[in-house]
This record gives sequence, structure tokens and C-alpha cells, in this order.
Amino acid sequence: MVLATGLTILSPLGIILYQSFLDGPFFQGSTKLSLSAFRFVLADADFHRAFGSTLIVAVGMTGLAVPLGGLLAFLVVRTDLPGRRWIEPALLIPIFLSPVVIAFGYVVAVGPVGFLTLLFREAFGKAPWNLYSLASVTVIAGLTHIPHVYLYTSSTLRAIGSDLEEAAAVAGAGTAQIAWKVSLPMVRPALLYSGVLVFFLGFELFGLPLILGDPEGMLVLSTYLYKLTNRLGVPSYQLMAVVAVVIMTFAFPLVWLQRRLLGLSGRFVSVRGKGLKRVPLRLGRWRWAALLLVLAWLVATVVTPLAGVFLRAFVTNWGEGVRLREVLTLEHFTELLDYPNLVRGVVNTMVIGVVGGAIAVACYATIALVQHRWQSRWAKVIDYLVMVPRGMPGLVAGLAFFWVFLFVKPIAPLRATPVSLWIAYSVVWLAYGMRLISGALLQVAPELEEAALTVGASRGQVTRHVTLPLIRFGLLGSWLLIFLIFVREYSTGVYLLGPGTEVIGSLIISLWATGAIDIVSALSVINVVLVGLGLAVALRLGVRVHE
Amino acid sequence: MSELSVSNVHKRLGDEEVLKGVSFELSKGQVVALLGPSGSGKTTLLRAIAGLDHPDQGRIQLADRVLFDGMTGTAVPAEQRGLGLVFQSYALWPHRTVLENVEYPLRVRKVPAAELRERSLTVLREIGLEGMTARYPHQLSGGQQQRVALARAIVYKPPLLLLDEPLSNLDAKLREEARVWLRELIERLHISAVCVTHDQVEAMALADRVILLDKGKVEQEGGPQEMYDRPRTLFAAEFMGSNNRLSGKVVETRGEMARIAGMGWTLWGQLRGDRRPDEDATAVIRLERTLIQNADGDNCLPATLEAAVYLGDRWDHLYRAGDLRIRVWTLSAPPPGPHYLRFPPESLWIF
Repeated sequence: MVLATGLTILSPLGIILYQSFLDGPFFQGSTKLSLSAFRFVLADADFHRAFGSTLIVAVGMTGLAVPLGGLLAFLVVRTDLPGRRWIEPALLIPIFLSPVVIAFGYVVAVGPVGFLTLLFREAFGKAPWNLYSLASVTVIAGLTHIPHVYLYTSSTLRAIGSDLEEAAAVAGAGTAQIAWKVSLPMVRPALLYSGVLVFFLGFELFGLPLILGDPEGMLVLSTYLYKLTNRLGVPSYQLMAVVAVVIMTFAFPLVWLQRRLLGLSGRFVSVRGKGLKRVPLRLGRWRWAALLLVLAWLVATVVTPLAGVFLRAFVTNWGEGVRLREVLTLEHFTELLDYPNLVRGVVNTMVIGVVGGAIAVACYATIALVQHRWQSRWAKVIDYLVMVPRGMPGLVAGLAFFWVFLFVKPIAPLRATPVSLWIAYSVVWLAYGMRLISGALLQVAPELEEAALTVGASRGQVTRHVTLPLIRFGLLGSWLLIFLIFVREYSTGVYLLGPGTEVIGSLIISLWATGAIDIVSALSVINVVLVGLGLAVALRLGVRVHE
Repeated sequence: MSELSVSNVHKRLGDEEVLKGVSFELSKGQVVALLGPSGSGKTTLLRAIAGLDHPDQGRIQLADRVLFDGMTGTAVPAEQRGLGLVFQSYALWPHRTVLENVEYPLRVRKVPAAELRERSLTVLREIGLEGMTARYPHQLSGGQQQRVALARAIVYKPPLLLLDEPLSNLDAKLREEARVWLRELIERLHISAVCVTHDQVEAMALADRVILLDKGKVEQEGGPQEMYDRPRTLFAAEFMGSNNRLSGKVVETRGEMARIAGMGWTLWGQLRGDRRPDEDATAVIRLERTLIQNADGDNCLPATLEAAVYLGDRWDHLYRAGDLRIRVWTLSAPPPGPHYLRFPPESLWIF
């Protein structure tokens, strides 16, 4: 089993490395080993610009998301902010929304002819923003990654208990002073960790820069990789492989760093106080200002783009001087039915989410259980294997799997079926899924399993009769979360897109390039509705959305 | 013939050697208590017997069956040892009812359905839980949960029952009742048992033999009375009861007796260990064996009463005698007047 897992995980990595040292596509007989691809890419001016932009975006979004995410976590967990109960779940929405959908929503809302831009122009004569700029991509990426920071910081804040803050309050410190002097040092490891995480996600960013950067020719590493395909006319696999290698060169150390930091912050959390009763700190007259700030963020990151998407999906056209009442329509959705590939895309997305998600969770659970029971060195090996896909952004992993399916003849027929997508998705989200399952396994006290052993149950019986029944709710929750993730996924499917392997995410990307806005908006709405349904069920069942 | 034989068991956990060569024997029908402070290795030893952890070396044998042997590499897995183990946390399966918890060991043994039900109900009746069979563990009190855990461990009639701090999760009042009940049950069912505890009262109440462990080694073993009355080391003396402890110097020895002196006091006591004149020594006496009297006498020190606390079944006094602070337990309040504390030489042990 270790072998199968290892092969599935390492083969895409191997093929990318191999391809990057060739001077042509690996399927051509005449290729030889060479460094020419590296030489070409590293000398390309566009590559340098893309690399620079990636750094700017990653640094900028980290600088924006970490302080705001930390502040948000403090406000929601620690203070008497009005409406905390419903703000909490709303905070998580951006995580499960597809970035392409969000980007598309922004284009419709605040793009050059977006409805907000038009309203603004009507009122003030001129809209002072330009959506198609590096700055906009950075700001939007920063705002949409606030929830990642929020999740880690809030769970740390929750785990610590408020007695330390109360002690400061008793000693006469004001709320601001407490936040600065007591709470902040406690969450510093969590902030540091989420900072590295967001920076890392900055390197992976694809949907946002693709849609918002394209009109002005702005590139980041991932979009540079994507555009390479049409650059030279011929399939320039070796160049793509080099860019993938460059991205991974930055991603792997960041993954490793995250792991180290998570270990550290975990240790920090485990020093938890006993009583976890929390008395919220009083914000006084700042209460409503704080609420306004949170609402402003929600409006900017969730309401605006979603409003854009929904509006655009139900109108025939949009532009200056168009009256809403005259253009309302449902025909974009009926139009979808005329294209078999679009219908297949919607069906595939749901099947991969529901069925694929279930099978993926079963696989993750199998690996996690084996690792959980085996206290051997193989457990360590799996532990490191699981890390590998984390260093491969979805776009790169999709490309790698595309090549694997080309390269390994016996599995080539699978390429045109959703199975190829499912394998790629499952591997890309392996680390996340494993963390969900091991989180559930951690809830099972070891002596419950040991008790079954001592009364004579075999290892298999322990798993079937004790472990699995005890984590069934955790498994159900993992299934829901994986469903959300799979439905939202877009970048992994880009290179695997073909007849039979359409999914909503990758269809949006390819249709966007052709300018089929009507269809893109309809697909986006379907995607959002699917995610919304999944999220509603998850929250309803009380699934902890935090990993 | 001994039922369980543990010999020279060693175990390392990380950098620390938790067990440094522990040996003991248990005869059929006997209850042995593994007593020791936390970190003494008692739980590690119990887990080694259960098969949940394997020692690094040594030998564990049950009747004529070798469960573990470091020399030959034998290590019977826990599920094949057939022992009963009651966990400190009880470890009842929360997704199964009381009856299902108790039935499970028979179920994995493929006992026919009718017999299985019958045997489980018998055991539940024996421990006084016949009305609770359909409940889930979280619907039971701590004491009831403990009984279910016990029922689950004895329903398949294991040759040996292992108990890990069986009473520590009960509150004080319940613990005393449970102690007597458990002892009575063990005797009625003729079970051989090994019981781990850090509480010397519990050990003495439950066990025929107490094995005192400290830092991975057997410090002393013997019957409860022997352990309490004739501790061989300072550690054993201090661990087995509540004591006054006096530090001083040995000034003279006379056969088994020795005189120990400190700042402004000198007392005769029994020499335990091999202290010689002029060596630093510690004298230990149980609180209840220190006596209060109104007149001076042999081996007495004048003392002033600092505090007296009434505890219902006894009085607890705190005296000061020079630099010494001495506690004394008595059954009734002492008469007024000047007080002298007497340290009967046979009860004052010099280590």
C-alpha cells in the first residue's frame, strides 16, 4: 500500500523533473537530456516579470491578510462584537468559493463597465480604480485569504482560554492594551504560520491573476506557465516543466516551513489553561465601528463579486445605459442545455464531488488508519509522502498527471474519463484530507482501541468495531468538506480538460478565454449554488469547517 | 505454582529507562498491587503484562505459557493473551450499550448467541447492574461505569485480571465503598489480579501482596502489614504511611538500636540500614505512633501545641519542639497541661 501511494504521489513529480531536463516533449523520439529549457526560461524577460509580480502579490497579500485576519479573529472570538454567531460561518465563505468565480464577479461588478463602476461614474463622473492591475490582484487576493489567517488564529485564541486576559483586566489593563500585550503574543505562532501559508498560497494563485491580469498582459508564474502553451505554437513541454520546477522550488521549502511552524504553534496551544470559559472583552463604543469593519470586508469580498455573478447570469447584456428590467432573462441557463460538453461538465462536477469525494475520503481514511496503527518507519515514510503534493499547485499537478497519462501507456485510456480528474484531485488534496481524518482519529482515545485488543479482538476487528464507528461523524464531515473542495477546484482540471473530463471550474477558465461571458456567468452561478448547498449541509450538521 | 511470573523486565521509553529489571511472582488466586509514585514504571509494567507495550528484555510467563521472552524474541500480541484489563479511564465504547460492551469479548470469541447473552447477563447481575443493560456509558455514574468495565474484563473468565488505578476516578466516599466491594468480588470469583495504584491505602486494602516500585526497580515487596510495619528503606517507610521525619546525626549504636541527635534533641530508635556513628541520618515515625503525655519520660521531648484539627475519626495535632515540627494523630483530644511527645524506640526507625 505504501508502494501504491508512493507511486501515485511521486510519479507526477518524477515526470516533471524528467521533462524539465529534456530539449523537447518526452514523447518525441529525438529528445535528449539538456539544460536548454532552463536556459531559455531563465533568460526570458516575461519570466522575470512574472516572477517579480508573483513576489509582489504574495508579499502584498500576506501583509494585508495577516493583520486583518488576526484582528478579525480577535474581534469574533474575544470581544462582544454584535452578531458574532452569524458572522462566523459567513467568514468561511471565501475559502470555498472558486477564485475564478470571485474574479469573474469582480469583473462584472467593478470592472471597466461593471455595474458598480457605472453607478459610481454616474454619481461622480469617474471611478478611481482600475481592476486590471497588479494592485487590485494583490488587494483582492489579500482580502480573500483573510479567512485562512482567521481559522488558525481563532482556534489558537479559543484554545488558550480567557483567564490570562482576565488576569490582565483585573490588573487594570484596557481592551486595547490587553489585545496588544496579552493576546497578540499568544497568537504570534499562529499568525506566523498563517503568514507563511498565505505567502505560499500566493505562489499558487492562478484564477485571480488569470482573469484580472490578462487584459493588461500582467503575468504571474502560474499564468506564465498557462500561457506558455500557445507561446511557441509547438507543445513546449520542457519549458512548462521548467516553470513547474521553479514554482515547486519555492513551494517545497514553504511547505516544510509550515510544518515546522505548525508543530511549534501546536506545542504552544497544548499549554492550554484548564477552564476554557470565555468572557468577551468589552469594546464599548467601538463595538459598532468594529461591526462596520467586518461588514465592509464581507461586502467587499463576498457580496460584491457574488452580486456581480448573479446579476450577470440573469441578464442578456450589460453596459452603459442598460435598464435592468428590460434585460432580465433565464436563457443563459437554458442555453447551457444545448451544449453537451457543458451539461457533462455540470454532471461530472457533481459526480466527482459526491462519488469521487466519498472514494477519496475512503482512500484517505485507509492511509490514515494504516499510519495510525503502524508505529513503524513506514508510517514516517507515508507522513513525508503526503507532504509532497502540497508543494505542487493544482495547475502543476494537473499538468503532471496529464503527462503521466500520456507517458504510461496502460493507463492512457483513463485520460478521457473523469477517473483521471479524480486521481489528480485526490492527490492534490491528499494532505488536506489526511489532516481531516487524522483530526477525527485524534478524538479517539487510544485506550478505547487497546480495550478491544485486550478482550481479544484482532487488529481488523478493532478498526471495524471500534475505530470506524467512533470516527464516522468525522468521516461524514470530511466527505462534505472534500465535496466542497472538489466542486470548487478549477486549476487541477485545466490541463486534463477534454471531451469526457469537463468540470465547471476548468470549463469556466477555457470559456473565459473565448469571451463567452453569458455561459461563464451561468456556470459560475451553478458552481456557487452547489458550494452553497454543501456548506449549508455542513454547517447544519455542525461539521467543524476548520481542519 | 505461580500463575504469573515476571522476571528481569527492562523497558526504555525514549532516553529514560522506565523499568530497570523488575521481577515478581503471583500465585493463583492472589492479588498483587504494584504500588509506586508516578514515574515509578508501574503502569508501563502493567501494559507490558497486557501486551500493549513490549519490554526490551526480560521474560513474562503465564502459568506454563510464555507471553514474552526477550531472549527468544517471543512476544504474544495483546489480543492473543486472553487477559482482562480494566483501564483507569474505563475505556467503555461510547457507541455501544452496557450489554453490548460486555458481550463484545464473547462475540469476538464466537460464543453462540444464546450462551453469550446468558453469560453477559450473569456477570452484569453479579456486579449489580442488571437494570442498566440498555443504557449507554455516558448515562451511567462513574461507579457504574467502573463496574461495566470490570464486567467486560471478567466476562470471558480470563486467568488474570489487570487493574490500572481502578479507583482513582471515583470520588473519595465512593472509593472506600468500591474498595471493599472490589476485594469482596475478587475473592468470591477466585480471580488472580494485578492492580496498579499510587495509593498505599488502596494497595493494602486490595492486595495480598504489595510490590513497591521506585524509579523502575522493586524497592520492597511483602504483605500489607509487613510493608507498613517493617519498611526496609527510607523510601518504603515514607511511602507507606504518614510520617514525622527528623534529620540528625547518629551519635551511638547499641546492637539494633541507635541514638540520633539534632539541634537540642536526642532520641533512641531502631537502626534500619547501616548508619554508623557520626553519619547523617533520618528518623521516621508514623503520626499515629507518636504519643502525647503530660509527664516527661524515656525518649520524650517537651513540646508546645501550635494547632489541633478535629477530623471526625481522629485529631491531628501540630507540635513544636525546639526546631522540630511534629504532627500527632490521636483518637481523642489530649488533656490540658504541659505536653511531652514520646517516640517509642521500636517505632522510631533510623535510616
